[in-house]
Order: sequence, then structure tokens, then C-alpha cells
Amino acid sequence: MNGDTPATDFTPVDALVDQFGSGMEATIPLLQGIQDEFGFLPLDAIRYLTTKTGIPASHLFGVATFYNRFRLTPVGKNMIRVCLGTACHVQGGGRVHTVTREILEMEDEADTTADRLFTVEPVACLGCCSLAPVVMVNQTTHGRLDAPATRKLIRKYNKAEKKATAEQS
Amino acid sequence: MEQSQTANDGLRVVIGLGSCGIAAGAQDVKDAFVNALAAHKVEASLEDTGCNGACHREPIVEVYQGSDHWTYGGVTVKQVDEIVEKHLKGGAPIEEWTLQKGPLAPEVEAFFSKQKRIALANCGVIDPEKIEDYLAQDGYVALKTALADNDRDKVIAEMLDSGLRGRGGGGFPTGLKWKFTKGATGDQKYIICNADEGDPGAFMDRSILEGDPHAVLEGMAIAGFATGATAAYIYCRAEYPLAIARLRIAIVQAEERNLLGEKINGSEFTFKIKIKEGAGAFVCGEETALIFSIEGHRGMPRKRPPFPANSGLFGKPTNINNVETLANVPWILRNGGAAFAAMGTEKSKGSKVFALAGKIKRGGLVEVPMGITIREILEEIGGGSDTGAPLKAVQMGGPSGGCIPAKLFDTRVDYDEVTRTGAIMGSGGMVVMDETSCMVDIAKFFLDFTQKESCGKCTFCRVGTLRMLEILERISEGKGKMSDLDLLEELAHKIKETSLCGLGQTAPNPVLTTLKYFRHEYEAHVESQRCPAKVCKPLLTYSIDADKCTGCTLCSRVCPVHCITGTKKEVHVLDQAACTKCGSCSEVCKDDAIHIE
Amino acid sequence: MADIKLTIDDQAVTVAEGATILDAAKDLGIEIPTLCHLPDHPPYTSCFLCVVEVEGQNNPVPSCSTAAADGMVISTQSERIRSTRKMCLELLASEHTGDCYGHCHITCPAGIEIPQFIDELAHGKPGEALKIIKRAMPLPSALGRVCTRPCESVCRRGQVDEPVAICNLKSVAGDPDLKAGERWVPEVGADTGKKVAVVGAGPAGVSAAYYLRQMGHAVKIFEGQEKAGGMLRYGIPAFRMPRDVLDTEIHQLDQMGVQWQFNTWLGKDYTIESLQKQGFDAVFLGLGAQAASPARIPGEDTPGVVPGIELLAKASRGEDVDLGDLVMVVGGGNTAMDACRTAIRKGAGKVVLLYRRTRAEMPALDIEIEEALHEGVEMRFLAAPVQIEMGDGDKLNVKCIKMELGAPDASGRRRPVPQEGSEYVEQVSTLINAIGQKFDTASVDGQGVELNRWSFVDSNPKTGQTNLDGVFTGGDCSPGDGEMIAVWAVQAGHKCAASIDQFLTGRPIVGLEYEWYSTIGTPGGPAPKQILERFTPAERQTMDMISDDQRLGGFAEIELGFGPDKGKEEASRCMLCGCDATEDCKLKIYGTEYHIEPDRLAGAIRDFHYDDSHEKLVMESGKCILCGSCVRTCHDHGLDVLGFVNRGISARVSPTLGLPLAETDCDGCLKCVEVCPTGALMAKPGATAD
Repeated sequence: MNGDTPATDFTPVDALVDQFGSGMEATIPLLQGIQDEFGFLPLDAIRYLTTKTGIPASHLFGVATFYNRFRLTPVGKNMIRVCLGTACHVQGGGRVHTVTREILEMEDEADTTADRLFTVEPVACLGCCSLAPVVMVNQTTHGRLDAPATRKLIRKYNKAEKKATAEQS
Repeated sequence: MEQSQTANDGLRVVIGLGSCGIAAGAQDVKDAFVNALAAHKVEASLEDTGCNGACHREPIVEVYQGSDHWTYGGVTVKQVDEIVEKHLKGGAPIEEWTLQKGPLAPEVEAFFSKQKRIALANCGVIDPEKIEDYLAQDGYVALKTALADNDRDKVIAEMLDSGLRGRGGGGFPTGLKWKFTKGATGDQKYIICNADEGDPGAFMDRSILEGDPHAVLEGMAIAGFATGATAAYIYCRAEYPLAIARLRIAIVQAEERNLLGEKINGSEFTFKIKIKEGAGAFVCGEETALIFSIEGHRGMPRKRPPFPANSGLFGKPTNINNVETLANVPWILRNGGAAFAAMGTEKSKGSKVFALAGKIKRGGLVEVPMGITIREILEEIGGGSDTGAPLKAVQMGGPSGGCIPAKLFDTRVDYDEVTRTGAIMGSGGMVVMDETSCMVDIAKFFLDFTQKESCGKCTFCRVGTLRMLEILERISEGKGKMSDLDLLEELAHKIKETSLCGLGQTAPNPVLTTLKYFRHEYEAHVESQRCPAKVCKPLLTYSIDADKCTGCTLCSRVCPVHCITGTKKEVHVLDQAACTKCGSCSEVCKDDAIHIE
Repeated sequence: MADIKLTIDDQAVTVAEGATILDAAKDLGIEIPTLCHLPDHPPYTSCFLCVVEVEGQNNPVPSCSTAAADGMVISTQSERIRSTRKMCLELLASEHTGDCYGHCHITCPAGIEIPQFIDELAHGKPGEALKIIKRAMPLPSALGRVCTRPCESVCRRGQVDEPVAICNLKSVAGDPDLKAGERWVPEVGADTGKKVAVVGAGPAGVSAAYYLRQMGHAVKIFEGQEKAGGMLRYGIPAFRMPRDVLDTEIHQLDQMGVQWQFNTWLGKDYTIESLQKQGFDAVFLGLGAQAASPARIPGEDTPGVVPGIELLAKASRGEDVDLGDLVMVVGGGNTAMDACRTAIRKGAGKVVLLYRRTRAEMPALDIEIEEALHEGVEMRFLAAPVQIEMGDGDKLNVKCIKMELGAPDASGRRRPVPQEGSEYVEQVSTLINAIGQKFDTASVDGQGVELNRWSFVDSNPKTGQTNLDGVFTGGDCSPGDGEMIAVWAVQAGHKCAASIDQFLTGRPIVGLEYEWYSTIGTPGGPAPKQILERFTPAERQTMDMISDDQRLGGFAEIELGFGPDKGKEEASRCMLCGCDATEDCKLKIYGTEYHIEPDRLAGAIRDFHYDDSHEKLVMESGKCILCGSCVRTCHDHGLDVLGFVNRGISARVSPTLGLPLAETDCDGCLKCVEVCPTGALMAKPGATAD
């Protein structure tokens, strides 16, 4: 199931509540904070937040499932955001997306690779339309891509990650 | 060596580090400059700036020395060392790399000469992280003057005179909005800056926030003063981390100088700004949804009236303006509403920023006086299509807008004239298309977007947009019926008529305009199962041209389903039954031997 | 506060400031449909069903959240409003995942509420079950034996183990009543003074009379044969359709005051015109199809060639027939099976069935084929007669040709293709032709009744109207959209009774009342896994039968029925498909009122999701229309168990954190159930708030 984690230390949530308060209007910053902390929104963290703030869990869950940015499942080590905005679409962003998933050998419905090294997330617009199509790997944006260039780029990241993993083990 | 260092006194190297510049590699270029300056022992101040709009030429590096000013465009890391050695150290600019003297000079001239920059005036000029730079450009003068005059009606009158209309897409007169909020009763009023730029294809707000954040803060403070609001929020997309970082810096700097906060500049006016990061929902561009979002709810719009001016954030009178609108405010108050209104058409005054993208030679941000034609923007400023092929259409207004065909390119940039075409001015996204763009595919793209972004409240928007998308999918797979076109129109009109908010009311526009101007493309998909632009995959057939194939094996190696066979240096064969039409083969073929029909 | 004067549908009304258009309309008694409006709550405005037109405004406005303003001129029923509401409901219905009714119910031509009557049987109440069946048709015991049971082929239980024995359960409901001292018959309506002539006492005529009497019209049935029942009597042998059952069941019409005239043939003894002259205000023609379809082969008039239907009629009257030692029956339907089995009982030495396709394509019910084989019928497939000649002695020489199956025909079955040069000759004593029946047009010749291209009586399939004013028809003589089977005939009688009533009372003639309903998938199609998983396999009950000696010795009924105990057992296998909220579901009520056609907007539908974890209520989110009433009510109740999740088309109402209801704070107050406009939230049987 999504979101359930083994019992985790939720003390960071206390700090967030101190920072943002426990009013309804703190909902989104609180959830953002939890996500920044855990990489996603564990259901137990939402439950903990409810006991801490009194904001109903259904409300928190409703907000968490409404906005694109929130995730209920853990992300991979690296985040690849593929822009599928209008300009990128017209310039072949769809191919960039497909090729990215192909190179990472992702399964049909999955957004994260089986080895949890990469999460691929299509996004509406990164605001770099003149450099379309654009992909953002972690904090680095790569523009003016086409299928071969994407292949090269993603292979490079994948290889580096695989190498790092191999060295670790 | 010692000498050259002294000679370089006052030397500044300014690098465009907007998101687009960074995407084009500006950060690497900056790092290269750091190394090269050290290596050549050149002392120069290395500064950041926002985007000057010429995104197609990024990364852009400007070199200032005394009255001397050179701009390098499309700078690569490899060029940096030479620039430092020859120009910065040797004093000899590499003219053929500059945008002033190089081969691209006429193009740069064409890109900028027709522009009139008000909202973008400081973008790519000042360092957005230094309030001194903004102050040097008459920054906060308008706010100080307004506070000194202490005449709220005069400020509103000036805004009304300017004729400025909401730049986020609504086009509602800004002065009037302020007047309503000023007139509303409430112990607390709010200003909200809508920086949730959601149109996938428009990025002027990001550019302004990254390049000139103080202009927006000053505009907000003036709006607060005029309406009686003392607290404000900037609702900014979380996808714009750089903009948020720069806004935070700017707010701190402005507070330090008492240009925001308690009793601003010695007046009685107190104004505090908080930043709220959006969590990603296009519908939050809608006023009431945005308010719900700040309050911590799902961004689901409610029916208006009551309007936010009377009952907005936390039930209090609230004035909401978008980034570009607010960025115009200081200029208008400094120069007078009449000066702003001198530009433009009868009902659309001043200048407007457009984001040029898609199949265009010179893409980027341009700010032009209202009233110039779409053709002037696309052909003279933008330089026409990037491939040299004739332009087919331009999509204006993003998912809420429509496709304007080339035959209507003489339409003037004016809220009402654009609306008459079926598109809308919107926030100013202009995505250019040529014959390689399929209009059914474009309509499908936008419907897919709005369908996913619908909040799900209103029946027609929630289910209706999905049904429209499904019909478009059928058509693009060659499974459509002619009656589907009528059904699309029926659904489109009903959805427009019966949705609470702008998202639903405008979602069908891309379909309606493409149906209106490009019906023949729909008919080709339906009646002859053909995609004239060769975009809709299920309708394409791939084959290998035996006369052209050299047997290089590239295609067979890249094919993900291994449907291309052949031995080296012999003609390859493609098994159409197994082909998934992904296009990989044609992407890698160097001999143009993949035939697509 | 100032009063506000406005006009709604040409009626003036005055309301206080702050009132909405919906409030104002309510004051006038004008009902504006809405799905998301909760009285005493701020408007939510999501469904957009409550739209109205305001003069001077471009677009329709939602009346629930638009304030009434002075001078407003409002229309709530314009064509534009109706089409908007219709599309609104169509959009909701197009993604609705819910069965208003069981697939058996919607497949049954007569529209019997099958799960309801079976549920009564499961609770040991055959009398209540009978009443439910008899709302839809008058002959539970008869059809409980011989119906071709289209319902069972779509029964969802068949996807768990085997279909419920729906057909025979009807006789479990009906049989006790036949033996009861006081029989249950529906109430007869107050006399309307109108007289209706029903021509033909087959299932169509019996059904028409049955309903017409309930409406209070006087009915006289004219029948050419000596007894009532039509094909149930003269086309089906007594070992399947016992005559005492048929007689007793039809006898209810006597109790209901129906008049009879037997041995009188239309077209011979009287005409439609003469009936009208006699003072009948309307006529129903339930003439049947008693003529055998010709084989169109040379020699079919040869003595010794007997239509199957003639054999069955003779046997029914107890007449003797001499079939000889070797009988060949041609055909693959139930009549062919009945002919085979009757021939055996009538002394045929050997019976051979000849069918031009294979066993798989035979239209007869499987059980009938099995029984025929059991009784010794030899079946030969992929052959058909092409010529008949008199042979030596009393024998017939039947020249046959072998067939192969070719491409599928219009019926979807593979077409038999004759194999050139494969002819062979068979010698038989009697050839029984049972390849189908047709309407005998002689009964209406020269009376102005129009026939269709297949020589059936032409009629409007919805209303049963013929070209003659006041003359209606249905059943085998005019099958329309239906098939030539008894259960379609009873439906036709019901439909025509409704039309005749509309005709006699001067209302528009529309036949049976239109009803829109929702259904998951197509009947017989795969059911959502989550439905099937709730049931554990339990074998279908089998009936006791008489011994082989007993059966071949005469025409005694073979199947002995389930009886009450096995009947109850079998009834408890029913999955009770359908929705408990059907009666007051607003989506269904408005969908019916606006005659919606959601299929034109067909596309992705909601997933089936059934949460019965809670002791008091069931949540079926596929039926949710996102009106949010439950969310608001639960919030008012102070629990916030229910909330919205996701957005766009994926938006749902969900219990806290997507958990099963039982794992949430839900206290079972059932207030959400009260406000739910559909069956997305339902109380469990017997559950109350306390």
C-alpha cells in the first residue's frame, strides 16, 4: 500500500508545527515541510500531524491528494522532471519523456525505477519555454533536447548512479 | 600583470542567471569565468542578473567597463577563457562573438527595436539580489511619493487613467478593482499577488520575479496603500524556486530599508508581505481557488459574487493582481497614467509582455506596445519559424485560449480583438506552430492538461472535459466519426456555459478554435485516417527507403521493439506489423531513409 | 429588508432579500431539480442541474446560488435548460458505476424484478414473491416451466459457479398458490365503462386481458381453439407444460371478470370491424404464429410430411397419430425437440433429428437437447433435406445434402454451406418439419391491417399500435423488437394494455412508461471482480424427475419442481444484484424524467468499489456523483470522516485516509445516507442511527 512506513521518528513534525502554527491555513506549509523531511507524505506522519494540530486527517489527506506537488509514495534517489508544457510538447517533449522512461526501463504505471534510483515526473511547465524541450534532473535544467540527446543524458546519469551503487556494495 | 589589474578597474561581468539562462548552461559559464579570471589574474566584479528576454541567445554575458558595454550571446564554456584573455585582460573585445557587432547583430536589433519595456525594464539590467540596483533605477520612488502625498484617491485615479487591465488573463481594469477593494468595509484587507503562473507556455511572471522582484513588491505596497490593505501574500508556484529565493531576499532588503513593514518610510502606512508557495494546481490561478489554497484548503473555486473585493481571504476584502500587472504600477505612478495610456489601442493600453515559444526563430520574452499586430511580433521580432517553413498558427492564452491561424496574423494585440478570434490574450503565452504541428494533437494536448487540472467540482468540467479528450483521442487514432465533431462542439458550448470558474469556462477554447480554423485537419483524421502533420502515431506508417538506406545499422540498434532487421552495409527492412511507430529510427537515421506516411 | 419581485415561468413572486432563485421557485411550487443542494446550508454549486435562464444573461445560471434580484425574468423549463440538464445527467450517468437492477431483471423481456422475488423466496415467503412476479406478468407457474430463460444466461452467479435457477424459482413462487383455497389475484380496477376485445388466448392475449382488467376496462377474449393458452397449450407438450397448471393459472382471469368466447376464428366468424361495431372501444390482436414455415424443397407436400406444430397440437388434443417406425425431425429449436419427444411418446420406433449446423449452434435450450438425447433421439448434424419423394410402401425417400460451416450470418451463427455432390438418400416413415413458424395471414386478410415485409402484422414496437386506430397487436404475430417466445408475448400484452389504456383515456400513446436505469457493463459481460469475490461457490440445486419408465409411457410432467426447501436453498444463491436506492435515487428519477442517453457520451467509468466494513452502512463510490452533501453533513456532525480526495475526474469522496469505513471514526449516525442523492451511501438492512 502507498505511504505506510515502519514507525518513524516524527519529531521533525513538532518543529514544523512550531514554525507554521496549527491553524487550517498552515496546512500546505506543514505538508510541504513533512514532504521536504521525508521525501513524501507518510500516512503515519499525517496521522501524527492530526493529533498534533487537530486538523482533521481527511482534510490533510484531501489537500495532499489535490495538489501536484504532494506525493504519498517515496521518491527515488534522483528526481527527473520532464517538462510537458505547450512549448516542450510542440518541440517533442513527449518523445523526451518516452525515451527517458525507456532508458530507465520503467514499468508501465510506475513513476519510480525498480531500483529506486530515479523518479520520473512529468511537469506542466518549468518556464524555460524558449529552450524547449527541457528536462530538470534534480536541480539542473537541461534544454534543447531531442531523443538522441536525451538518451545520452539519461544514460550518463544512470551509469553514474549504477556505478556509485556498485561501489557501495 | 600588475598594470593590467589596475587598468581593469570598474570592470564588470554580468551573467544572465534566470532559470532559462541556467538551463542553457549559464551556471557553467559563470564557473568558467571564476576560474578564468583567477587563472589570468584579472580582477573584475562578477555579477548576476535576470533574463533580458532574448532566451534564444542564452547564456548571455555582458561586459561593462566605463562607458564601454559589450554583450556576448550563446556563450560556451570553451569561449570563456578567450573572452577573459583577449577582452578582459587584453582590452580587445572579440567582436564576432558579440551581439553588437557579430553576425547576429541585425537579429538582435530586430528582436529589441520594436519592444517597449516597462514591466521588463530592469530585467537583465539590474542585479535582482541588490536593492541598490533597483533604487538606482528610481525604485521605490513611486511608493515614497504616494506615501508623502498621502492621497489614496489620487493613486486610484492615476491607475484608472492608465487604463491598465489585469495582465493575468482576466483583463479587468486594475484601477477599478482597487477602487472596489478600497470601497469595501472591513477591519482587515489583503493584497494578494498571483504568482501562480500556470499557463504551460508563459513565463513572464517568473522572469519578472527573478529579474526585478522589487518592482512587484513596490506595486503591491502601492496597491495596499491605495486600498487600505496592510497585509499581503505572494502566492508563487513552487516550481519557481529561484523566484521565491529572490523574493525572500528582496523582502528582507526592503524591510531593512523600511520600504516594507511597519510605518513605511516614516508614514503611517504599514504593509507586510508573506510568501505562500503554491503546491501545484493550475486552477489556483482562479481567484477564489487561490484564496481557498492560502487558507489551507483544496483549491476548489466557489461561485462569485461575493467577489474577493468584498469577501476574500479569511472573509475579508481582498485585492488580487498578477505579477506583471503589479510590475507596471511603479512606472505608471512615476510617469503618470496618461503616459501609459498613450500607448496601445482604445481599450487596451500600455505594453504587454509575451512569451514567444514553439517553432520560432527568436524565442523569448518580448514586451510590446498594445496594438501592434501578431504578425509584427512573430515575424519581425520573432523572426518567423525556426525551420524556415511557413507559420501555420499561434496559440494564444494557453489552455484557456485558442489557435489563431496565419490568415488572422494581422489581428492587433488588443483584449477585444484577440477575443474575437476565439483565443484570449491570457497571460501572454504565444506558442508558434508550423506545418509540422497537428492541430488535433494540439487541441488534445490542451484538453489533456485542463482535464487533469480541473478541480473536479462542476459536473460539466469534470466529466465533460474527459469526454472531449476521449473523443479527440479517438479522432487522433483514426477511430473518429464525423458526428464526433458535432458532439465535441455540443460539449464545448455546454461546458463553457456551465462551469463555476475560468478553467471550465475556457477549457474548450482550443478545441473550438481548431475546429473553426482547421476543421479540414479533423476531417482528414476522421474521413481518411490521415494526419497531415504526421504527428498522430497510430495513423503513420514507417518504412525504409531502399534507395537511401546505406545499411549503417543505427536504426536497427535503436529500435526498442527490434522490428528492423538487416546486415551491415545492406538495405534494412522494417516489419510494419511489429512497429510501434515510436520514431526512434527516423531520429537516428543519417541518410533520411526512413519514410513516414 | 426590501422585498424583491421577480417572475419565474411567467408567474410573479416576491421574496425577501438574500433569497436565491431556487428559494423563489420553491415559493411558487416550481420544482427545480438539483443534486447538490442541501437545505439550510450555503450553496455548494457543483452539479449544475439546477440551472435556469435569466432574461438578459448569456449563460444559464445555477439557481441554488444565484440571488433573486428585483425585476428578474426567469425561465426554468426552456428548451436550452432542458438540454443542459439532460447533458448534465448524461455526463454523470456516463461515468456512473452502479447497477440499478440486476442484469437478469433488465434482460427479462417481461421485466420481472427477479432479485426481489428471489429474496422473498429466500426468506420463505413465496406469496410475496408471487406478488412481485405478477407485477410484471400473469403466468409464474407456466413460464416457470417453459420460459427460454434469457435471464439465466446473464446471471452474475454464473461467473462464480452456475447461474441461479431463476426460471424454475418462478414456479416455486407460483405453484403453492395454484393449490391454495383462496388464490391471490391482483385487484381489478374500478369500471371505466370501456370495452376491449382481445383476439387470441395465448400468452399475449392473457397478459393483455390481465392488465386491462386491473385498469378497469371490460375485456372479452375471442379464441378460435376450444381452450385458452395458445402455444403454451398447442405448441408445448404436457410433459413440459402440465395442463392443470396452465388451466388453473389462466383461470385467474375468470376471477378478474374476463369474458370468453371460444371456437370462434377471426377472419372467418368475425372481423375487426364487426368487433368495433359490437361496441368494443379497442382491439388487441394476439394472433400467434401457428403456421409452419415451409422448407421450400420439392415434395414437401407429400403425404407423410407433417409440420411439427401440427403434431404437437394433435398430441395436445389427445388425437392419435400414426408416425410409423422411423421418424425424421428437421430443425434445431425447442419445437423440434418437443416434436422428437412427442413422436417417441406417440409410438415412433426411432426418431432421428437432422440439423444443418452443429450442436453448438442449436437454438434449443441445452436442457431440452439433453432430455431428447436421454429419451433416445438420434441427432445428425450438418445435413439438410433437399428433396422428398414417395418411396416404397409408405416410406418417404428423403434426399439430404451434407453441409459445412461457413462465415457467420446476421445472427452471428456460422452459415451452413451445402457440399456439392454430397447428396444421399434416407428412407423414413414420417418427416416432421420443425424449422419455424410464421403468422397465418388469413385471419386478417382484407381487413385493412398492414403487414410488414416478413408478413407479420406491422406495429410500432414501443406501443403495439397497428395502422388501424384503436387496434393494437403483439406477440408471435408481430414480434417487433422481440423474439417469438412466450415471455416476449406476455411483455407485448402488458405493453399493449398500457397503450390501450392511454388510448382509451385520451393520453399520448407511449406504451410502457419509460425508465432510465444504470447498469455496469453489458448483461452477460464480465462483472467487477470485487462483486464476484464476495460470494463463495454453492452448487445449483437440481430437481427430482420421474422415472424413465414413467416418462416414456405418457405425457406426465417430468420435472418435479424444487419444492419449498430446495427452492429456498436455491434462492439463497442469488447475489441480489441491483441497488437498494432505486426507488428514490435522484439520478435515476431525473434521468428518467429527462430521457437521458448517456451512451452517446460513453467513455471511462468509475471503478467498482464496495466498502461494507462498517456494521451500519455500505459505501459504493462508483455511484457517487460528488455532490459533497455527505462531506458537509459529516462535518456538521463533527466527525469529518468523509472528505474529498484527488481532483478532476479522479476526485472522490473517501473515508479518512482512504481507510475502510470501519477503521474510521464513523459512528454510524447515517445522516450521510439520508442526504446521499444516489445509492453511494446506503444503510445496511435493518440498521438504524441509534
